Amino acid sequence: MNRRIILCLTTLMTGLVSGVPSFAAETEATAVLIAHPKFPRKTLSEKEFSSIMLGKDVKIDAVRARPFVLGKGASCRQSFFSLMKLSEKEAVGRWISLSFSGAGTAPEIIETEIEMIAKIKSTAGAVGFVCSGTEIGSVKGLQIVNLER
Amino acid sequence: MKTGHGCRKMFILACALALAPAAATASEKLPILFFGDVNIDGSYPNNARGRNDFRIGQLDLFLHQHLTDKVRFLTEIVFETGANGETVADLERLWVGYDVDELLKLQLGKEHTPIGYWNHTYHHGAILHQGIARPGFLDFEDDGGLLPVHDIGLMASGSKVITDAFEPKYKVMVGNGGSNLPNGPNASADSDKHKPVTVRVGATLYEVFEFGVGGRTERIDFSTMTDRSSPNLGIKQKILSLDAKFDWAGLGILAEYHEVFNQRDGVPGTSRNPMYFGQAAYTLSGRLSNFTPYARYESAITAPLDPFYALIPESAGKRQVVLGGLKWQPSAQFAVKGEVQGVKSPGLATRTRSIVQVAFVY
Repeated sequence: MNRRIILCLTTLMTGLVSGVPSFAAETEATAVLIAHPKFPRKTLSEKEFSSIMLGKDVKIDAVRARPFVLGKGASCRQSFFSLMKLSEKEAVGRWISLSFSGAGTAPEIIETEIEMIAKIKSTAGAVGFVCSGTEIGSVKGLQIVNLER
Repeated sequence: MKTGHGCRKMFILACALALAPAAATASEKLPILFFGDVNIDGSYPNNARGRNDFRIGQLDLFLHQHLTDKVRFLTEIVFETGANGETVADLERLWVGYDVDELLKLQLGKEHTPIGYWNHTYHHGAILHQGIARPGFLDFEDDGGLLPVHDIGLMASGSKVITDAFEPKYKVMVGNGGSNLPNGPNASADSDKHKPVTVRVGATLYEVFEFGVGGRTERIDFSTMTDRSSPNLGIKQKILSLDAKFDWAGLGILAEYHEVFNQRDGVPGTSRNPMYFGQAAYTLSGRLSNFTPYARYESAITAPLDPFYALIPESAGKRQVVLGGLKWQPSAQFAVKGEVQGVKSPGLATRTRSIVQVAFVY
């Protein structure tokens, strides 16, 4: 009995320490970038995308970009951070620092993809993402282009 | 500046408790952030109280939000426990901002002065910086700091990305002044007729190097002050500041130099008070990427007969600190730091301090 409890606790602690869920493995989906239907562009440079998502004050063709990010439950969140070329820890750290310095505000967190699409549709300059396979309706799909190639 | 009265304190604590559930559910959205730290402090020889101790640090309630596309506000309230065990609340920042565009952003209210890099970047969030505490001369006014770290007034700031390689920026602040006096800045109204101006201009190069040059000019006229028991004198104060930061491939270097010039009315000669620090940190890679060893050297020298620092208790003389430590940060919201400091204060034997700090934000 004691051995079983110790085994359970060890498994739980291993999961907590490693940050890897012990009981379920989630499938990693791909993040698809979206923007308000009247967003002036279909493409963003890596620098523009990164600056917008870090919460900096960025204007794209005179339109102020407003970032929105899916919450921790989204299966494509890691894919999104890969697009930013940052780990989740680095990105959250940058959001906290930027907001704390008063130089910018962190992106608004949206809980579900349905809410994300509604938010993007109703907010001028909005940029966000949903997971691949989600019906995006009338919002605009965005792509990142590497201008340095 | 402190509001340690019983009723007010109870009210603020009740507000904090009422806000806590909302903050907990919304921590992912980052509308309200709680910064805090707890410490274990061991000294040799022992500290003034003759013993080592566990200490709670600050609890910082922070909110920064856009009200509209152009209007935003920021509030920051810090709770801290004094040597007598009493918890006090300080309103550290409170401003409303209007962003005309990236070149002109206006803020009206109380803000950290744009002196150097550290003061307007890290504020009260211990988790954000390497090292357990701020450099001593940048301490807050109620902790014996030597520079004016807060002011109440109007600030204009802006930056412009010219190319990926070059982003110039500026900050200019006009305020009530007097913030490095023991009583803090003139929060409700200006107690003298002079308005100090603080300026920092700088640039970021290739997103890895940032430098800044700045200054502050202030005339402190004690003879016109009505709310302090002060000597009848006037002082012209000028501060020159230089700062540089390098951050690349895990290596972070930060250095600041400030020189404070004080001249008493009617007395020839200006006393010079240099203060500086240099800090280096390196975040390891691979499996050790959560670990950052760091080291810092800081020095502050105030002239023995300086007319201004004579008004701040225990500020005269040369103070040096050498420290080294290790920061373990497994997530953006939690860090543990272990640090050893050698502290040389005027008239005292060199003291060694060993401190462990747990810092968090949620």
